[in-house]
Amino acid sequence: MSDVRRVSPRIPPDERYARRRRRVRIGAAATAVTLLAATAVYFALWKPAKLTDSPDAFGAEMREVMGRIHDQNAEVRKKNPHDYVTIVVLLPLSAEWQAAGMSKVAMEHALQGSYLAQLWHNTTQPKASRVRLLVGASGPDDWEDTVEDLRSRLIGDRIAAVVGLGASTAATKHVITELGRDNVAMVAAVLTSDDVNARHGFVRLAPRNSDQAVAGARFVVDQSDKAIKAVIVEDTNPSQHYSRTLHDNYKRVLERDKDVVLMPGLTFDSSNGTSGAVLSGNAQAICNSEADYVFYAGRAEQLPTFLRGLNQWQGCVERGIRVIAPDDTSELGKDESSTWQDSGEKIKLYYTALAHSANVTDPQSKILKSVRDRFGTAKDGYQNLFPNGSLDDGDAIMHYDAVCVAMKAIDDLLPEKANEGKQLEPKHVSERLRSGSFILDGASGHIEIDKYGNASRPELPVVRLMPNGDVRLEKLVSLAAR
Amino acid sequence: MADFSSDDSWYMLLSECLRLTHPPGRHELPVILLLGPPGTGKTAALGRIAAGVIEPPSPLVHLEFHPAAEGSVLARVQRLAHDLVVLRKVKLPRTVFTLLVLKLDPDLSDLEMEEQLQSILRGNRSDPPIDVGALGDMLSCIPTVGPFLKSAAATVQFVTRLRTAPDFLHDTARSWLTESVPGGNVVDLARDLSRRGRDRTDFVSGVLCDALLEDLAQAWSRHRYPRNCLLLLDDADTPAGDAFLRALIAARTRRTEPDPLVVVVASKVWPRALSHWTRPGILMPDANHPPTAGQARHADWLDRRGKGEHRWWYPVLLPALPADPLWGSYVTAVHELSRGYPAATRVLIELTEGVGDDDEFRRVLHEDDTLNRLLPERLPHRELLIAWSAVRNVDDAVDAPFSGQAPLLRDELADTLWLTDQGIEENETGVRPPPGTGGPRVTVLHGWLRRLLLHRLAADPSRWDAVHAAMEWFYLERGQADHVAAMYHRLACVTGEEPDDERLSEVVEFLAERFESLDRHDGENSRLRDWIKLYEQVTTAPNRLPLDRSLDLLYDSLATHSSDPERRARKSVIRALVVARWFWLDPLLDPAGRCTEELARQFRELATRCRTGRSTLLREADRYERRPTR
Repeated sequence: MSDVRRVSPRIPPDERYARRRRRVRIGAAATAVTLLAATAVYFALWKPAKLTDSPDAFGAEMREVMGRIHDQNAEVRKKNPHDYVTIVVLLPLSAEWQAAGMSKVAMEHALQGSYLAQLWHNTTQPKASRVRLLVGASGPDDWEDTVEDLRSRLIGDRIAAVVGLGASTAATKHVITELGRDNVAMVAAVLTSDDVNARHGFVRLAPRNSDQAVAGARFVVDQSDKAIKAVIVEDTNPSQHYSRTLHDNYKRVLERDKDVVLMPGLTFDSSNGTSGAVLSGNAQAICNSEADYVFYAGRAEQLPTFLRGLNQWQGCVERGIRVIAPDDTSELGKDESSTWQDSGEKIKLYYTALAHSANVTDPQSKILKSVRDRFGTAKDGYQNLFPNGSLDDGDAIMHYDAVCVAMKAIDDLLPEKANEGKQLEPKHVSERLRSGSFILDGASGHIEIDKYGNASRPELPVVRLMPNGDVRLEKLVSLAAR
Repeated sequence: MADFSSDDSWYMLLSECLRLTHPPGRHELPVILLLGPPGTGKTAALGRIAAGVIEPPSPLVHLEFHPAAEGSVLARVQRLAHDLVVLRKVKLPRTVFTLLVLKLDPDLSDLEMEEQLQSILRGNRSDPPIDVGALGDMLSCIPTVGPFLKSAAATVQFVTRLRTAPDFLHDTARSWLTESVPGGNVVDLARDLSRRGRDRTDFVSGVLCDALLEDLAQAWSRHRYPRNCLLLLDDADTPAGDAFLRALIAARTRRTEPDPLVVVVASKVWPRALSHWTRPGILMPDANHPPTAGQARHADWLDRRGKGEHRWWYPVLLPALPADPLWGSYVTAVHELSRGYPAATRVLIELTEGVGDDDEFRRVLHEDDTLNRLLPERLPHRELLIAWSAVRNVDDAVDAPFSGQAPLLRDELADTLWLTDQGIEENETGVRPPPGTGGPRVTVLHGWLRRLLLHRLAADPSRWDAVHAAMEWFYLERGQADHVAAMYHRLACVTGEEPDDERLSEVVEFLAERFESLDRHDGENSRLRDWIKLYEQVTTAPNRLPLDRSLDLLYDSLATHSSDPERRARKSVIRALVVARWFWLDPLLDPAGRCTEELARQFRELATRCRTGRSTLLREADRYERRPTR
C-alpha cells in the first residue's frame, strides 16, 4: 500500500482575479523597475556631501568629537539660523598614516582642538557671529570630491575659511592649489613643507621645514664642542614633499656649517613594502660608520623601525648616537609599535616640535592665562571635554590656533560686511589674513602672519622623546640669524 | 498507509461554485449537503476542500457542530464572523455592530444602552462598560486608529466638525440596522434577545444572518478575493446546526441579490428540510435522487432544485471508494466485502495487509472479530434490522412476517442514509450489470451494513435458521409461491457441519428437477438459459459458514456427496456448481475468486449431460473462465 497521502487538488482562483493579479504584479514590477532605474540614475549622478558634521561620517575613532561638533552646530543653527559663518576643517581623515602623513590619533586631536576653539568662541563672544564647523576628508582618494563639494557650498553654507589642511603631502598641495584659485582663505595648522607657499589665500601657522632644519642643526652644534659627523636619512617617497624639503633643508644648513662633517646620505622609500628592511640596512651602515648624528628626513611612522635597527648594532650601542627628527615625531604614541628598546640610553631621539604641551599646561608659560584655561580642567576645558585626549603631539594646540586665526579674521571683517549688508566671502578673509598685519596670541605662542602667509616664530622647541614615549623639552632654539 | 480519505469527487462542483465571482451579486450559490452514513469520509472531504482554497488563500470558515454542544445562532454567527474578520481580514461592519448591540445590558434604559454602545465604539476597549468577550478582537473592523491618530482625529473633529472614517463605518452599520429593526431603535434588539420569547429570538437570528450576508455581498463587490467565501459546516445534523442553517437559508431567501457564500454541510442524516429531493433507496415515480459528488454540477443544481427556501439545497452523496490495486493482494476481496465503504475499507486493509493465503485472510478477520465489532451501535430497531439482513431486499423485508414496525424502520433507515437501491437483476443474480443498465430497481440495505447484520445474525444459529425458515415459508405461502426464493433461504441454512447436508441436497434436487424440465427447446433456443437464472438466484443466498474452518475442507465437504464421489451423475455436477457459485459470490469464502475455474469446469461437465443448450452452458463456462467480477 502506498504511504503517500495525496495532496488536495487546488481550486484555482477565478480567472478574472488571476488576470487582475497578473496586471497588478506586472504594474508593481514595472513600478519597481522604474524606481530602481530612477534610483540608479540618481545615485549615478548624485554625490554624497563630503563636508559634514555627521557623528558617524569618519568612523568610530572620530565619533565622539564629531558628535560634539554636530551638537554645537545644531545649537548654532537653532539659535542663530541667519547669523553664522562656517569654517571648514580639512584633514586626510580617509587615508592611512602612510598616505596621510598624520595618524588617526593626531587627526582626532586636531578635531578636538578645532572644536575647542569653536566652543569657546561661540560661548564667550556674544557679539561675534556664531561659528559652525564642517569637516571634510582631504586624503589622496577624496580630496577632489571634497574640494568640489566645498566650492559648490561656499555661498549656501556661508563658508568663510578652510583650516587644518593636513600634513605636507601631494594631496594637501593639490587642495591648496585648487582652493587658491578661488582665493579661499586657508589656515594650515601643521603644514611645514617649504614648497607650499605664497598661494592665494593661504597662510600657515607651523614653522617651515627649513626652520626645523635650522633649529635641529643649531641644537646639535650647540650641544657639541667639537666637529660632528652627521648623516641624513631621507624618505624618497615621491608623494612626501615633507621628506624632500626636510632633506634639502637639512643638507643646505649642515653643508654650510663648518663644524659639521656631512657623510654620504642614505635613503629609503616608505611607499615600498620593503622599506623596513632598507631602514635596518641603513641602521647597520650608520652604526658601522663613524657617524654620531643622524638627521632623519621622513615620516614618524617608520622611525621606530629605524631606531630599533640602530639599537641592534654594537657600534651604535657602544658609542651612542643621536637622531634629529622633524615635528611629526610628536605623533608617535606610547603603544608597542611606536617605541623602541634602549637600555643604556645610547640611542637618543630629538625632534623639533610645533607646539609643546607645556605651552598650555605650565603656569610659567608665556601663553595667556585665559587661553591656558581653555586647555585645562574647567567645565569646557580640553582635559574635561576629552579626558582621553593628549596635547603632547601639539595637534590639538595647532588646530585650536588655526580655527582661532580664521575666526579672528572673520570677526575683524564682519561688522563692516554687516553694515554693507553683504555676506562675508572667503576671499575677504583671505585678504585679511595676508594683510601682513594679522597678529594673535594663540595657544602655540604669539603668532604674526606676514604678507606671504608665513607665521613668524622667534624660536622652536626641541624635545626629546624617550624610548617609553615620554617627552621632555630640551631647549628652545632661536631661529634668529647668526 | 493508503490515504482512504482522499476522495476528491467534489472538486468539479466546488470549483464551479467557488469561482462564480463575476459579476458580483449575479450568481445564486447552493448550500451543498455532503451526505453519507458515519464513516463515509465527510469530515475528511471537508478538510480536503479547505486545503484546496489555500493557494491563493480565500476566505474560509470551518465550523464543527458537536452533537452534545449547544449554541445559539448568535454564537455561531459570532464564531463565523470572528474567523472571517480576525483570521481572514474580511470587513463585516454590520455583523460586528449588530453583535455589539446584542451585548448591551437589556435592563438599562435606551439612553444608558446608547451610552454603553458609544463608549465602546469610541475606543474604550481596554476598560469597556460591558464584557465584549471575543467580540473585542473583531471591533477592529470598526477601525481603531491608535492613540496618536485617535487624538488627532478627535481634535480635527472637534475643531472642524469633520466626520472620521470610524464615523462613516458606524453610521453605515447603524443605518442598516436601524432599517432592519421595527421602530428603528437598534438597542431594542438586545431586549428582543433576552426577554421577548422565541419568535423574537428567531427575529434576532434573522437580523444577524441578514447582516452577515449583506456584509459579504458588499465585501465581494470589490473583486478583492480569488474565490467566493467558503463556509464548511461539519456534523450539521445537530439542533444547533439545523437552527443555524434554517436562519441562514431564510436570510438568503429574503435577499433580493445573491450573496457570495458557498456553504458545504456534512450530515450523516437526511435533513427534514430537503423535501424537494428524494432520499437514497426510496423508489417512486419522479424521484429526485441526489447525485454523487462526482456527478454534481452547478448547472445540475439549477435544473433540479426546488422553489422558495427549498431552492438553496443541493444534496450530494459521497461515493464508495473505488478499489485501488495499491491496497495489497486482497484488494478485490476487501473492496467487495466493504462495498467501498471508507471506514470499513480502512480497517480491512490494515488488518489484512501482508496475509499470505485465503485461510489466513479468513483467520485474521475471525480473530479480530472485525465483522462483529464494526457493527454500528446506534441503529434503528436493531434486532429487527438484523433479521432484515437475511432478506434479499428491503421491499420483501417490509412484507416479512416478523416486520411489525417495517414502514417506520424503512423511513428511519432512509433518514440515516443506510438505504440504497439496486437493479432487480443484480439483486437476484448477485452480478453487477454494466454501468448504465436500466430496468426496475429495488431498495436494499447498504452492502456493508447488511454484511455486518448477517454476521450478527449468524452468531445466533437458531435465529438464523428461524428467520430463513420464516422467509422460506413466506415465499411459498404468498399468493404466487416463489420456490426459487424459498430455495435461496434453504441454501442459506446449509452449514456443512454434517456430511451430506440435507438442505443442500434439497436445493440440488430442486435445481436438478428444474434442469430436467427446462432442458428442452423453446422455438430455436434452449430453455437452459432460464435454468441458469434460477441457479444464479438460488446461489446468491447468504451463508453462515464458519470463518475458522479451512476453506478446502469446507468446500470439499459440501461440493461432493458421499454417494457419488466421482460426480458422474448430473445431480452431482449441479451440486458442485451450486457450492462453487455460493462460495464464489462471498469474498469471505473465495477471497481470491478462484472458484471461477471450478464453475467453468463444472459447466463444461454439465454441457456433456444435457440434451439441449450445450452451447449455452459452454458460453457460461467461457464467461467464468474470463473471471467476471462479482
